[in-house]
Amino acid sequence: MNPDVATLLASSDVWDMTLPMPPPYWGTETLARYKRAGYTFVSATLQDWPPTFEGMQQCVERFKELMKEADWLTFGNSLADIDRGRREGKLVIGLNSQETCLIEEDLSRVEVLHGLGVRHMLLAYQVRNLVADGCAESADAGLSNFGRQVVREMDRVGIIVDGSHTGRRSSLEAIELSERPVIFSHSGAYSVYAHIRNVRDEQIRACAAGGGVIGVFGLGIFLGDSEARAKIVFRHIDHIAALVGPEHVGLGTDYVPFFPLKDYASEWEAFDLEPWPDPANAWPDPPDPELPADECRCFQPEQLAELIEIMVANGYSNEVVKGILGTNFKRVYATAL
Amino acid sequence: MREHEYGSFHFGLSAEQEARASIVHREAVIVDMTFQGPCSPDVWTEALRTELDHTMASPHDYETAASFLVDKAIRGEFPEYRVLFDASGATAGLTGCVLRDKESLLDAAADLVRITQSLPWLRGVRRADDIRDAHTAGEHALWGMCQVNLLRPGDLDLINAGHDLGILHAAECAYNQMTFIGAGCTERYDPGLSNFGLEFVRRCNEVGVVVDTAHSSRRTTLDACAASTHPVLATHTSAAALQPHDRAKSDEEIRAIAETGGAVGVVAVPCFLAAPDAGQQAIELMLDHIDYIANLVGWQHVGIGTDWPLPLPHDIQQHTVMPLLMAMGFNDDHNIDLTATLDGFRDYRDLINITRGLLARGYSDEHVRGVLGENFLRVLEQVTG
Repeated sequence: MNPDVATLLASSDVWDMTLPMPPPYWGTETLARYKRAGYTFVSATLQDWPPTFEGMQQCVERFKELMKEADWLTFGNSLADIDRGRREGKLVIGLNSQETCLIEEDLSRVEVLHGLGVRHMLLAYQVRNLVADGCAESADAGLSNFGRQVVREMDRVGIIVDGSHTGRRSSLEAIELSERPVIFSHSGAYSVYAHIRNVRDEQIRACAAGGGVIGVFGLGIFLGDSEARAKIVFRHIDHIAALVGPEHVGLGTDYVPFFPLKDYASEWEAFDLEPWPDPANAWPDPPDPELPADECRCFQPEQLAELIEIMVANGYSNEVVKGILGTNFKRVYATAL
Repeated sequence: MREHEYGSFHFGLSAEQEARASIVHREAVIVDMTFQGPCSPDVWTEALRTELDHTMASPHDYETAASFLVDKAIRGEFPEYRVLFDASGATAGLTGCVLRDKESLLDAAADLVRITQSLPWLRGVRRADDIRDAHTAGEHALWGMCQVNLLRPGDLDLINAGHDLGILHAAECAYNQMTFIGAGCTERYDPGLSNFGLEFVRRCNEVGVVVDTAHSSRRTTLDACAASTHPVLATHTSAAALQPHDRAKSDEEIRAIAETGGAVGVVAVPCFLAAPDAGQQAIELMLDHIDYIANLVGWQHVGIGTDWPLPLPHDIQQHTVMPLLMAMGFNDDHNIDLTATLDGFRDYRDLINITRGLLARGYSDEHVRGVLGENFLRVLEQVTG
């Protein structure tokens, strides 16, 4: 690693806002790679799938039990926890939820999720639920009546609203309704690559106007590069920075070890994941013949150094880079934590 | 309790017509598509009321209140239950489930077994003929209607399971609020069916469960009718053209439902049928809605789904039912008055007033039988056999 980059990393909050941790991949291997790569905080998705309330509670409990042995790991739900963990040289793990469906019709569960440690939650994963439409719903409905109550309750208890995977209209309404900044924890820029998982300039502007941050992900199939190289991640970051300013970009790589799918096809089947949502509606849509879904890679933790080099080479100051690495999302979290 | 003679609303029928009405009503297989009976607030004696008060865990204990009389009947302590059912003339009543998860299905299935085991004059339903057979035997049947549909992508097999268990013959797309399937009729937006909602309709068609659009939004109703290869129902609604209300169906929806070969059931809920400041209404208003729909799309596509009155004392309803309704999408704009009933339909022993009223309006016996239940049975037969 370039010594300047190493120095920059060592002196920064480095946050990845979306690290899915499905049970088959529990273990310290991925987290160890994150630590070595310089990350200081990762927000983990620890859920059964499709997410149930009890399932998530059990996942979190079991995962914490498993991770007890690793003294270089700690869990953090507050900025004080997160800062302390970083001072102690540990990788801090936070918690997010990638669906609101686990609260079902029970608003009181929002507060319980907060108690569990959830600090951001996305409204709808790809398809319609009781709260909002996901980004794969052509109807693009906004928030339901209940959905508005959920956003207000999230504001009240201190869970940041997340518009990733959620439909355009629902995300815009949530941004307007929420009294806090709203984030897109892991998305890309639609203007760079047209995919339902990416956010339009309209959404980026609204998010930024509210003080929010967009975390750029690392999935090649959504970014428009089957190799998921650092430079494509940079292109998405750069578009957002140019549009609304670099203080509204961050990282949410959505790193999953089982990409490209073709290398893990049998394993994927062995996981026996529920058909959520209906694969016909999930992703990609429309399929890009240039990007065969099962061959696309995803951005690895080790590619972070190269991404920083590209940013610096493109004239991003240290302060700007630090913002993208972590202080931008930290600023948003500070409004609730 | 004031003296009241049920089934005697003044229609100006001759003695001969009254006799014919009695025969038609007795011989018809009657399916009120949303039968809250056979009990009404009128059946609660002081003794029953005192016993209920002592049994309820709190003033808001809806579960206990709602099952109180049926539980008494099951224990053999309330023989009036059968008397009332017989007196109404209704052949079929409702069982049903919340479509949520395996547990909710099993709850409903176990409940159905419990009641049919204890009350041998009540049978479950597999096919439309089971309802006809019950009528022939002078007995009654329970068919399965699901109003609260919380199915999520991946849950479609629960439709098969519910149907196999005999507790799911019709399923609503959405009760007032947005579901994973589609928008309900009180929702702020009307995007119709979701992608999963289309899958839901397909699976209902495949299994033989009727798609019900009673509490669905306009677009959801139209989408369901367009997507379904089987007749669609709106089990309990009204004609928006006569009185606008979130719960009413527009002409467009009524036509779409009729075009599937389905049927629209009319409610006896005063606040859905009449303008808010209209004062006490009579059963003629309900018959007006039936008339309107029959004239619009034909007598073969209209039925009854009274949904009213609810079977609890009024003050108990206020503390149990009202909070539930308010939590499920209804609000003050819907003008729900739990104490109001139509003059001529305050109890299920007034069901014969519908028969008498339709005959008074010149409906033939065949058409009356259609409205009372044959239209529904035709739909059930076509969908489930």
